[in-house]
Amino acid sequence: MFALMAFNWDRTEMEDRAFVVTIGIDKGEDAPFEVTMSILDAETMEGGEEAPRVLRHATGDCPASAMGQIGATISRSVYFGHTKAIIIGKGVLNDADKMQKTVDALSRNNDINMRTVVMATDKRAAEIMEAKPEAHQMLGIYLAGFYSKANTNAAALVVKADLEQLAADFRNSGTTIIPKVTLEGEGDDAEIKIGGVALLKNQSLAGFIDEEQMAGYLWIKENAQGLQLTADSATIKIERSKPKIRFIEENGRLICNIKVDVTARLEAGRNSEEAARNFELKIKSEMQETFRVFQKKYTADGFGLQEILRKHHPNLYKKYAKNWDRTFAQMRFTTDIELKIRH
Amino acid sequence: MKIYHNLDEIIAYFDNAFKNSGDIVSRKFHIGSSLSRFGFIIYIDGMIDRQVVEDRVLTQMLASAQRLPEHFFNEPISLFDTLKEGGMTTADLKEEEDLEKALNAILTGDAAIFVDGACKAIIVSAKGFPNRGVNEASIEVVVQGSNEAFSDVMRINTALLRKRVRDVNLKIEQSIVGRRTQTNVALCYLDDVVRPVVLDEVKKRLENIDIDGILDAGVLEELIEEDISSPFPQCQITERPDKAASGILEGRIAILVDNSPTAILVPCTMNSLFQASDDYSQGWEIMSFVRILRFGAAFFALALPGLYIAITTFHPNMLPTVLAFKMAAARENIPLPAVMEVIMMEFAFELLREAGLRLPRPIGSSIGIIGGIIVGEAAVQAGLVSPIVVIIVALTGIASFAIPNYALVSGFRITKFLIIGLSAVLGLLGFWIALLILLIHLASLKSFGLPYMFPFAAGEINGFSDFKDTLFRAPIVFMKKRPIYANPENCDRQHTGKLGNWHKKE
Amino acid sequence: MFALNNKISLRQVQALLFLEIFGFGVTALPRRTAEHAAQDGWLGVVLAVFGALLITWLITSVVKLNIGQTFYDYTKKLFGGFIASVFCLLLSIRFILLAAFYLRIFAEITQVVMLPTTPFFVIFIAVLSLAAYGASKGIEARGRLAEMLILIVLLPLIFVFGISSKEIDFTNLLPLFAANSTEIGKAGYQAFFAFGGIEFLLLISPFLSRPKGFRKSAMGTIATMGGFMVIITAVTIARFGPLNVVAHNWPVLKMMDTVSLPGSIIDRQGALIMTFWIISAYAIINAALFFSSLLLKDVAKRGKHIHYILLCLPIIALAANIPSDLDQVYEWFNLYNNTFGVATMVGLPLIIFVASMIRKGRDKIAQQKANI
Repeated sequence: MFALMAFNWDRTEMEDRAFVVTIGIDKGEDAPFEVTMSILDAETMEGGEEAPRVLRHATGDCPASAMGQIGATISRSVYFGHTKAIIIGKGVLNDADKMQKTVDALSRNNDINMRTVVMATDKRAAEIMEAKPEAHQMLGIYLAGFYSKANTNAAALVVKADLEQLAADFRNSGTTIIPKVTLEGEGDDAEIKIGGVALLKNQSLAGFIDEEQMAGYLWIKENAQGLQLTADSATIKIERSKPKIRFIEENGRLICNIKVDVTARLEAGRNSEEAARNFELKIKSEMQETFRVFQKKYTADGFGLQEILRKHHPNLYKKYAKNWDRTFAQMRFTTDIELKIRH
Repeated sequence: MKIYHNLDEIIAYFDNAFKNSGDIVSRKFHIGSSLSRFGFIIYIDGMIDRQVVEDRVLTQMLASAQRLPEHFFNEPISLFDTLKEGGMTTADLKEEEDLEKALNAILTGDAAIFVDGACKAIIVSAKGFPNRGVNEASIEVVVQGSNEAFSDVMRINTALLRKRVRDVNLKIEQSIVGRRTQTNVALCYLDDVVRPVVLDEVKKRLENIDIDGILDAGVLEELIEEDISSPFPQCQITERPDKAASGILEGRIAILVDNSPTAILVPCTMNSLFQASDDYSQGWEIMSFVRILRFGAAFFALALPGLYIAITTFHPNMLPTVLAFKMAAARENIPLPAVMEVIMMEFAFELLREAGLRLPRPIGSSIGIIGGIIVGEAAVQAGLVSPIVVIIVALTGIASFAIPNYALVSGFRITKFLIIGLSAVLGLLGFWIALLILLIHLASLKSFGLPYMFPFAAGEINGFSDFKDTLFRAPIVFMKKRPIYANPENCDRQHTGKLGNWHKKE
Repeated sequence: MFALNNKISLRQVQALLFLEIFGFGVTALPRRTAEHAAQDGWLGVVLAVFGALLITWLITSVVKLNIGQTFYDYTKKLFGGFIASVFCLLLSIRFILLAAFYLRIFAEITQVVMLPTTPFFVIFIAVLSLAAYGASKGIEARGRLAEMLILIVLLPLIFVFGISSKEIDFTNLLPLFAANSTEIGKAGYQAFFAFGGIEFLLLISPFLSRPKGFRKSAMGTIATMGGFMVIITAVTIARFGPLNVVAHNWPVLKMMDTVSLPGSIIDRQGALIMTFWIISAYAIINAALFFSSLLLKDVAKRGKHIHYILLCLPIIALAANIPSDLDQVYEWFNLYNNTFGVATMVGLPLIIFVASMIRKGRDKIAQQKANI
């Protein structure tokens, strides 16, 4: 039995692990990186007003070394097996090199689940982590829960990014979108707010896009199931929406055509031809607006249109892929909506 | 050794043989009116039904001898025959010419009568030694079905089998094992269903035994097992005659050992150890469910503590986050590492089990309550063990009681510690290595030539039909073929026609 | 069955073959094929399956001509004792090295997935002793164990891949047939070595309880396995995309780890995956150990099987310890495949097949002459 106790290389008791729930990565004041970790405090977990967590900060030349630093300051061994969310501060988002290092360090760590939620913030990540979400005492669990719920109900306008997708996008084009988390209010009353996205181009921040301008994204890329729309006096709830993206070549430039099949149910008001047309127009304008922001304001292909072109139109891809920025900037965008409203 | 001609020599022989034995009753007596012939009766007190011997045998014999003409007394052989044929009103008589065999018969509880000059003995079988009669089954209890259990007396046990299988092909082959105990061992089987290879093998192994004594079926079991290094039973021991009978119907051999209230069923597979006798007396749907439950229980009894150690101390990322946090909080301030905690609690549980077994029955149950509830609760309160470990150990214990065969559970109880040990060193890798060691061992194991893991391995040798009685218990009407145990030339179990709603179809 | 006869049924041969080849063959398959043919990597696997079927046909022909004889016996009859010994040694070295490579790769996987600081030699000792224990129990126990393990391996695998197909973007396989024939050929060549261990069939002949239908079942197994490999490769490439699949050392592993099971109490599928990898590692190392020690015993013509198993153990452990890192392992593995692999997987069956055909023809002519 004592031999059992002697031969242990990887055995660590549960209470000797420091469960890191949330990781925040910021630009440090003196060093390139400052990492904040929210660690489960098991002793205060049972009941109590206090959130069962402690925050630790460390700085370093790269995120991995900073994470190691934290390990040296606590008596337990840092464990990332239950990390639920990663928050990246503005300082890091702005710097392509720092972003690259962050994604590298995080995806190289085998303990961190590649499905961990990644969020961007326009403040410092540490600030966000100090705030206390009302729904759940642990921010990481709150964020992860938010997204698992959002999977089936897109009523809250969210786009999900996880570590795996981020790493893949960085490897492919360097253009990606990360959902934004921020604080509303001041001081102790500050509340967590999720909405809008950070658009990254060439591995660094191109800009933050707010919720209204992102409305079209759902129609273009995802399923808008559960979304409620109101126009005139009628309200509908979307049951299913399915986008279909096609490319047509015309006079040496590409036309991107998006056809969305939408099925919706009438929730309130009266159904009429006119209402249906209004809804269609509304969806169309949302899509055009989002596209405009991506194309004109940032010239960043956050929709992954390049990949779609590669998959479905290999010949056009060969022709246009070389100078994708210009192609994307010149692309024309047409939309078709087929809306079916059921009672 | 032939029986002596002279009665006095015989008496001297027995006097010598039973020197210092106070329970021997013997008497030399006159036969008939002439005082020239003597008889001699000898038996062991307590092993015999005195009334039968005194009233039916001795009295009758002497009375009939009185009526015999004089000349009979000059020819001891014909006198002997006449006395045997006409003088006794009991059917169970045997002639014996060998003195040593007569001695053995006396030792097994028969009475021997000698006549001067006849060189023969009459063996009167009137065994009347104390026994418990037919008791209720106490270990393999069933909800529905017969509750008879085997008794200590072999004759009663064979009768219990005969009562169930009324077939002339049911053979009960007796032999004697044990140099000193001279224990009767009976092989009970259906002559036309048993596999001859297996029967020969069993006989060979029985003949191979040369030992002072066999006092219980368990001893015999170990002596005829294939691989004694295995913690798993390769013979099925049962106390239920109906189970033994159903085994015999399947073509297995039931070995009865005198003075032992159990039967050994061979060959056996691990699968048959999961079958209980009321599996067939209740609906197949519920019993299939119960079967799955039992196999799950086996996995729990075997692997749960090891899995707990592997996951919590090596790979907590496999647990759902909230559960992991709860467990971490529960282990806060526990002084022992999880491995020690589990091993300690497992030992405590095994201790309780053993103590409860040995204690007189009325106290036994209270030990369970004190040990299980009070000590467990106190240990948690004192912060010595985490409540989750108590749950794990209790679950392991409960699961082990859900398996119908006690010997199989013992196998799991031992191997459980191998799994705990390897899991504690190598985590899940160790866990799987331990499981694989176990599986390799089980795969290599055979019971009287039959693969132990049949039909999960090598199921095709009986056309996979044995799968109908494994994880699921198919409706009885589907089990057309006898299981693997039966002689392949005689494997039709039933030709039951169509079942169902008879009056529905005109 | 009711005796220790050292024979196994065809079903058991199939189960053994599947377990031995499949698990480790498929680990790196999506990466190695996607490196050459991007999203068309699975086409390379299809190509490789046909190659493997051809080889299986050759090997089963050889076995059918020499039923009941050991490899040493029938090569001796064809080529004489010396060349037979050389063949045996070649094969046993091939198996020992195969075991060493797979042992090392398994240890690397284990270190990444579950035991980051446990030294290699502990893992080596643990897995090797397990494999040796299994090998020492003889072919019958191996066969029966394989029958049981195949269920334990296949059911979770099918389950996990079934679940995962829900969240996979199959458009990642588009555009189809974009790779040219050279690229697909290269991918096929790489994928072919996923069938390493197919030569075990050359040695199975004395253990067959019933030779009838042997070819059919062997080819069937290889075809089924090939089907699985194609599906897994395609699904894995689709899951990560052709660009990202190359970035993972063992994409299949990564993929199984990150599937989210609905309503499951397991957060990550560590246990399920480890079942698969440990059993696969056990199966291939056990087979390599069993057969290489058998061959060595045949060549030396003395001693007991178990002695040769014990002799092979330290060699495998030491060989597995040599490469300095994973890159070197795969570099050497390529080299090993191009030499030993080609020699024993293609060369040896071909030579023996041709020789047996010539011999058969000669015998026939001799017989005809004798008849005349």
